[in-house]
Amino acid sequence: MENLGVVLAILGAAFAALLSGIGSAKGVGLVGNAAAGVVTEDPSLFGKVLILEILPGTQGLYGFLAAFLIMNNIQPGMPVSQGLGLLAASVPIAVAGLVSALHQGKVAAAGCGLVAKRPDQNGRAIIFSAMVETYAVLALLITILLIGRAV
Amino acid sequence: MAILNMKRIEVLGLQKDRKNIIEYVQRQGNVQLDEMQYDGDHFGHLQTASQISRLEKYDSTVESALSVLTKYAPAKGGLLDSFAPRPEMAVTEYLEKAKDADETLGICQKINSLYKKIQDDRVEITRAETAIDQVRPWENLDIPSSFRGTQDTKVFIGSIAEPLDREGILQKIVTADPAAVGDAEVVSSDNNQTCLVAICHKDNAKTFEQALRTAGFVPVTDTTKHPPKARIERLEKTIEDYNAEIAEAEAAITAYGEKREDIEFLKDYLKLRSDKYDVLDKVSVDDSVFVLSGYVPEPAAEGLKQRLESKFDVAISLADTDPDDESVPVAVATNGMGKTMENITNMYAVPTHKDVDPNFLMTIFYYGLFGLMLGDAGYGLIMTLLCLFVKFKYKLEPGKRSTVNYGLFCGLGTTFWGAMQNSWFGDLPKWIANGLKSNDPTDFISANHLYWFDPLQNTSRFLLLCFFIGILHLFFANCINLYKMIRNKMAFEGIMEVVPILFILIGVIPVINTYIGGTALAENPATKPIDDLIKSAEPVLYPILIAGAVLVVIGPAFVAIKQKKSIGKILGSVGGGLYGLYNAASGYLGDILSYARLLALGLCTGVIASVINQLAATPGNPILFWFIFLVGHVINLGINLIGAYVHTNRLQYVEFFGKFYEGGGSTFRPLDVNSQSFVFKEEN
Repeated sequence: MENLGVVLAILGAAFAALLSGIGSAKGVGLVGNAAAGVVTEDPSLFGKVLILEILPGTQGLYGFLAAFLIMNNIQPGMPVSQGLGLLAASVPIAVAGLVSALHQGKVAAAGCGLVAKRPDQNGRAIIFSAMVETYAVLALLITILLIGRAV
Repeated sequence: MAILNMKRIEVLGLQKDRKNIIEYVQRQGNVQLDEMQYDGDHFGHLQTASQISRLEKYDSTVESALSVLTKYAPAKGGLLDSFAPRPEMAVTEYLEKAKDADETLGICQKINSLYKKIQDDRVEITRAETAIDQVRPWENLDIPSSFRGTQDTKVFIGSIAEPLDREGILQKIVTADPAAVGDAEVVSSDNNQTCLVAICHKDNAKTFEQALRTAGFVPVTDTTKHPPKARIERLEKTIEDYNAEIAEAEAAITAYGEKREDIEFLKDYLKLRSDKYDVLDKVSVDDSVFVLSGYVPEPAAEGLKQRLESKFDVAISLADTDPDDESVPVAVATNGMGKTMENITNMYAVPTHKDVDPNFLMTIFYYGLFGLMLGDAGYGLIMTLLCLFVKFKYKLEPGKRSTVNYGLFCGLGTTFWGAMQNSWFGDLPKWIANGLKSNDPTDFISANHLYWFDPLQNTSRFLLLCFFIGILHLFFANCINLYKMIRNKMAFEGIMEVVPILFILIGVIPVINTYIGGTALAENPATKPIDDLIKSAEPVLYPILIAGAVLVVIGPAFVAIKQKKSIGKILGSVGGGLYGLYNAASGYLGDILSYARLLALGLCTGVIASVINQLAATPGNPILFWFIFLVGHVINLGINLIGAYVHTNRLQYVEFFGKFYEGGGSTFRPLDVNSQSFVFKEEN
């Protein structure tokens, strides 16, 4: 049991990458479906919808980043309290990443519809989608600050 | 650099000059045509629908011919060649070339019909191949499959749906009816069927056929007059012929490759004409004269008037427009740095005549914010060098020049902030200093500490920096708002509304320093003076914060007093002020926090870049290192470029524009030349 701290911290890192990765995968998948539909109608819109498709992917990156930062802070034989702290620190980006990526995906998929009808409006479609991401950014920030406090 | 005044222009000309005048105006490209404001029924309009639909048909012919050409004779040119300037063409040359339009259109139709022939032939080939597949099992049959027997014998040709040999077939026939006497020969056999020829004496035919059928025999349906092999040969010959035809057609299309320039010219020519026809129905005409009316930007108006008058017999009137009329289109003249922001601004909204032109003002923060978010000097250098290369290799046209300049400034911002964060392709210098073995900070850059903060080591300090940048950005936006309100003759309201916010933004600095930063600034000797400065200014800053808050509450009351409202309304506006304070506090808190994305995105690039280096170093092989390095960093740069672009724009649109920019004007869309393959030489 002397390694419980390490195990908890690893669990935290896994959580961060896993949940936000799931969210991003679903979000990107959702937009991909809509984007493919748009491209069948007008292949020249590929570049515009591709940007929209990538947008919900950032949560996965944030989770990856958080997992990496947690991994950097794992020391052999670290106390349980520190391990638990790192696990708790992973929760904001894990959960907010999961949920915000899903919703960002929905907004971006709707944005694909907007771009299909009015290609000149893709800037606004991007901004709508970027609004959702704010909360993933804030969650990542708190995760990073908490990792600093936990060790 | 400003939002241009618009003039209304009306040109009265003779019908015989109509085409030339309108085309001249189109080449000048600075009049947005609309319908003449005129009450009466003297003038009519031109009918253009049939012309437009004819042009559309031509255009689709040209478009499909071009895509066929691209398939068979692709245009040569590298990735960056799209930056090369278009060749110049004089108007006389253009008119000369335009005479060949019909001929070129004919070539396009030929290309399309050749392509159609290729496709039809392909269908025929597939059909022949299917037919061959059907006859293939009968290839070894040396009699026609329609052969039914001789004088004394009866022959049955067909298949049984199971794998069998001669013995097996005879066995099945005998089992079906012992009285059936005859012979059989296997032509071919596979897992699904056995093709066979069975023969019997004529007298015995009925019994034998019955037995055969009971055994599962199915006669061949698509019979041949000659031995099946002859049919296969014939079909193969057909395929060969079709292939030859396809090759011929392909060669013919490839030969048309040299006409690509002409076809591209035709496409532009048609585009010019259809653009013209699209607005032509706005021109008022009667039997002998026509009136063309529209908007022209003031700086171009006089010149255009003089040139038109010197070239044609026309009467021209110029009139001022009403600045409050929202239907007047808005043209913005920017140059230099501001030009690079035009696209970004227009993506949000086109300014109105009441707005301050935001383009140049945006650049002051834009590239810094972008650089902070991308935050890697290596990536910044790549962007900078690439843009510089394009800039000096090609003589860029204005539109492309501003795109390249945008990339260049973004690259410079990224290089600066990347260097400040000590991120050069992540931690590449550290790996190189250790011979790709480890990332101990033994390299020159780390040893010399050219930077004063590292986002990973000093998260809180970096975060504080982001918030301070945010406060500056918001402060600046409010200053622009104040200027705008003073300019629009709302100085008192502007001061009452904006100055309190400015006070709050200044006063909130020590609050953030103490409650979010904690000791982050005081810890580091490089940033301690900043902390000392803020601490020593606290006795001034806190009163400013309070004064700001009080002013937010009572400001609306002063405005109400100035507007000589009743006592009740004045008291009510104090209540409104309290709500305003809540709004300002929550709104600006959210705005400032929003700048945390500068840290998050910057950190993201740097850390992932370092992880890529780590991964690349794991196999311990230099070649593999550089391979993984290259692939990984290309992906990381791509993803983070999009991230930085999107979030910089978000900060501009929501936090910055939200404070002063209204937008919503209608874009100035002059009738102009939208050619892709050439530009007109300047004419006098």
